[in-house]
Amino acid sequence: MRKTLLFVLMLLLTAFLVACGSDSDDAASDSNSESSGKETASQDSSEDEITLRVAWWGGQERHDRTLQVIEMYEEQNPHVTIEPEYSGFDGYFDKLNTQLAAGNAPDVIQFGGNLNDFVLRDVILPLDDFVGNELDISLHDESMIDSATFDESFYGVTLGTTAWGVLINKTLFEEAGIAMPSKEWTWEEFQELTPQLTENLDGTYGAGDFREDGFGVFLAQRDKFTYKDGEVQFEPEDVKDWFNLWKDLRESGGAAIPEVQVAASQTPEQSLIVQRDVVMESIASNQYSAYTGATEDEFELYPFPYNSETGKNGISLRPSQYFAVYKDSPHAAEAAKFLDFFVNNTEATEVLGNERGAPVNSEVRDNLIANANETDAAIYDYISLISETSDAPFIPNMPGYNENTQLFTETSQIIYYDQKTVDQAAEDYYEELLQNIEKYVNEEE
Amino acid sequence: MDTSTKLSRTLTHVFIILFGLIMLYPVLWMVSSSFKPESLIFSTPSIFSDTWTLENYKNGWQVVRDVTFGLFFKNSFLISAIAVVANLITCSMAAYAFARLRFPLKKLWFACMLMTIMLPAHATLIPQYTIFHELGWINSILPLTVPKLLATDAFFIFLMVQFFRGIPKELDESAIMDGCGIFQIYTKIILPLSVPVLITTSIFTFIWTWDDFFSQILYLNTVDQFTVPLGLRLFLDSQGQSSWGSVFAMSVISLVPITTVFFIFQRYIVEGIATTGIKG
Amino acid sequence: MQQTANANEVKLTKKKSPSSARKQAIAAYAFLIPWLIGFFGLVLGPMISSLYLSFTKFDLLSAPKWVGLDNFITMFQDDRWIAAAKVTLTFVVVAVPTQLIAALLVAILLNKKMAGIGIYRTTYYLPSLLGGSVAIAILWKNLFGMDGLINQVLAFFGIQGQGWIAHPDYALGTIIILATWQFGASMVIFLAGLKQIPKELYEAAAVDGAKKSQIFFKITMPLLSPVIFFNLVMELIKSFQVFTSAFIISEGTGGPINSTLFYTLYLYQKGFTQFEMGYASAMAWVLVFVIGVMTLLVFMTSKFWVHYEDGGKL
Repeated sequence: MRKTLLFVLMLLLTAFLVACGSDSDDAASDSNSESSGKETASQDSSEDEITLRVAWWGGQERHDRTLQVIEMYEEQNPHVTIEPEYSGFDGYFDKLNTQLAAGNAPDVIQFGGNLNDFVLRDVILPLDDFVGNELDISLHDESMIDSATFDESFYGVTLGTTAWGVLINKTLFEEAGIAMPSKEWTWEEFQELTPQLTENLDGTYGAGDFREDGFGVFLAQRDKFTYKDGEVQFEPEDVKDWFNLWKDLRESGGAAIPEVQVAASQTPEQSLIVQRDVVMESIASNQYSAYTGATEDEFELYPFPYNSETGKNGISLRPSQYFAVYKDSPHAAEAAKFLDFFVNNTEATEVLGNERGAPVNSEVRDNLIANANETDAAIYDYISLISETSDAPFIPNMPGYNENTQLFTETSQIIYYDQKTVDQAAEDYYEELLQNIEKYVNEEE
Repeated sequence: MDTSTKLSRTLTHVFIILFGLIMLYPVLWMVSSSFKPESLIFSTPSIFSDTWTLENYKNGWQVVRDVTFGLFFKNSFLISAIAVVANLITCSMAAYAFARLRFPLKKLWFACMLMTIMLPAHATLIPQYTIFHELGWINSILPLTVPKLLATDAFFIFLMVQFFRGIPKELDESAIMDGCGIFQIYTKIILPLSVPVLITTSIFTFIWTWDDFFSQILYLNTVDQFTVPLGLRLFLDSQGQSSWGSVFAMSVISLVPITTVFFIFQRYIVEGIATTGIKG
Repeated sequence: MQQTANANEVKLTKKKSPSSARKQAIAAYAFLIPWLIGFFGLVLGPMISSLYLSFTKFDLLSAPKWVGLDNFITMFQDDRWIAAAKVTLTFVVVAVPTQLIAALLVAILLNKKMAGIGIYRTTYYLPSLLGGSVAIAILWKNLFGMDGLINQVLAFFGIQGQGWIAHPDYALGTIIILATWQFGASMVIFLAGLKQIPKELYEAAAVDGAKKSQIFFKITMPLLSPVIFFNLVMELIKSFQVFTSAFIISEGTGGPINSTLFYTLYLYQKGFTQFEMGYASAMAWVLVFVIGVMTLLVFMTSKFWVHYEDGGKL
């Protein structure tokens, strides 16, 4: 007995030493590569050698493509070494917040819809000084530039354009024996269709809740907006109408029952539509391939049902993610140059493709559309459909993005489980929302 | 063996196996998912499937570019092994002092030690990060291993205190008669008689360090430093496209070392080593 | 038992001389050196700084602003804080005893010499090995969802199931089950504790013709009491701080409708997603206070039921 234990301990120790040993080997090879880097730099002596830290989150596909572009950039700019700091989404922002607090954040940082909260907290560098020099945004969509502009300063380049839409499981429509609606459908048609689908399918509901994103589109169809020009531009009445719409849908059998809806995961692969719990769900267009890849069913992307009175679908193009520069970055100009390469260079954008959404540079986008595969083509088609059919302006996220999204979900659930009437819940929501926004905006003054 | 003991033995086995199946279900499900094509993992969640593939293992092992999962195993193993050795030595030292020796301020230190467990980790995260940043230790294994060398795992100190106090003091005294000093009592009496708790500490330290996602994501920045839990999350983007097949495949592989460690060492918890001889 | 312990102590005190006391103190501090360095170098500083932050408004980035007791006062008017406190207390009251009893029973069951026992032990430890793995969240949905395994089993008996995980009345229950199911760590500690009980005592009791229940209550329980005590204290602390399971299952929200909003989950939300680190720190210290009082209570009762071989004094 004791011998076995001793043996295992020895084994552990040996493995430990081996691991240590090879670790120092790595360090040695690292320093080698560094010194070879120096040699190339000395040939190009006009510029100093620098290291840029670039952080993003994503999955395998995104890591692969982004790393490839980084290699291309390093090849063309031998004085720059890029230290990629990538991870999955879990923990990304916790780590970033900690790094920001300790003054140790990367130079280039990927953000999502929460960029505004970081701009408000004054940790992002305005890029205005570089625009037109290191960074060319002349071919970028105006609305995407607007989306990253706060107090007349420009803070980040858009990595991909996306738009909300309704994902429809075509296979299930066929199984239900119901014809696909036209792409100019209305809420009335939607209300009629969904209970039929539920009826004709076993254990599948017509639609899953369109959530907060759907509410934003719903408002835009009425020419109202969640948050524009620094204020909330809708009334408690609009909230009531939205929640009543869904309450009616649930009562008619068209929308998923609370127990199914609440258990839904945010992750595309585990969503209700992939698991055949619902036929329709609202998604962002850049997530389309994640959804289609997780099932053998056939999906199609539709605009939201139109408001039959105003004749609008209310969908606007939105940025999926941004690259922004850390305020205390010692190499801001170099960072701006990297951003320029990342979104404007033809080869780089060909590698990146549609993974973060449709490219923001119109020339680049045209180039990609010409070479798109089937899935990507569906997304580009959808984006151009939206550009043609909608004049809805871009609506920035409300300050306090995380907290408000959670508040909206909580309110929906309160209504699902009849803990409050729709009217009461909507009014409470509105009140707390105004308080939250005030809190985030005032904090900075 | 009479029939009634035989029957009760069989019943015990049946009972254990039935409950064991409940315990085992998630792992079976994970293994089955790891062999499914990605388009079927969530659309057909049953354990049984008609289509099997090794694709997930291939994709998962080849994480990105030239990085393979083997690197993460190496890094995790290094950190866990150091943590085990460090905890065994430093926690048992502190526990020996608390359990066996008399010294001024003992109660105060003991209370301080317990208090360090009571404060939720999130509250001290940022100041702690700042310390390691000032020391220039970010993106190395130092923030993950040095604290263990400094006995910051109060859980194990307390655990060992409880076990050391279960060792009869007569043994110390007879050792003193034999001319043993305080240090020899620690090495010759306390440690050899505490094999079960030392093994327990090793198992837990190894497994918990292996699984510790949050502090590892915080302190390790670049992929060459990444560990198994970070590697697993590299496949996951809840906002976009994830490779769930790879996650399951690599989760299965990463269970192998920790399950093996547990399986090999668990018997020493119960059988101990040569303890009965001394006790009797 | 009690008598031998007392006898030990008498012998010891008789032997103490001033010089040996000093020697022991010096030796003790020598043994404590690593811990003392760690405590003063790595742990104490962050603790004090979080205590300071609890009296400030701090958004992680700008300088903290002193607000006195504001954070503590706000807490008691914060509906979500109250919800979080209730959820956590419920969890502690239900999960601590269930998990301890399950762990103890299984440990006794698996503390036998029989064929394949190692495999059984490993199997029972497996759920704890999975820990906070993402797979757990998915699995729990598969078990407790509307079409989940549990409901399929219930339907077999003609019972109409629920969407357990999605319903505000039942969601907490599923997390308690998860915690109970991951009893492995306590089980292992109990196993180690059972091992420490000298076999001779059992043999002697068997010779005296003691019944199984007598043996359990007269020998096993008293001798295992330091370990039960340890598990009780640690489970208590751990349960007040439960985070990972709630985080992965509710995807960080604490939903549905805050029904799984555990105290530390809310603390995390406040500190890291809503940038109110001052408030989060204040929450942390209120928790330290509550856990501290509870632990102290358990320590005070320990002299009535915890039996130490070394005579019972720390």
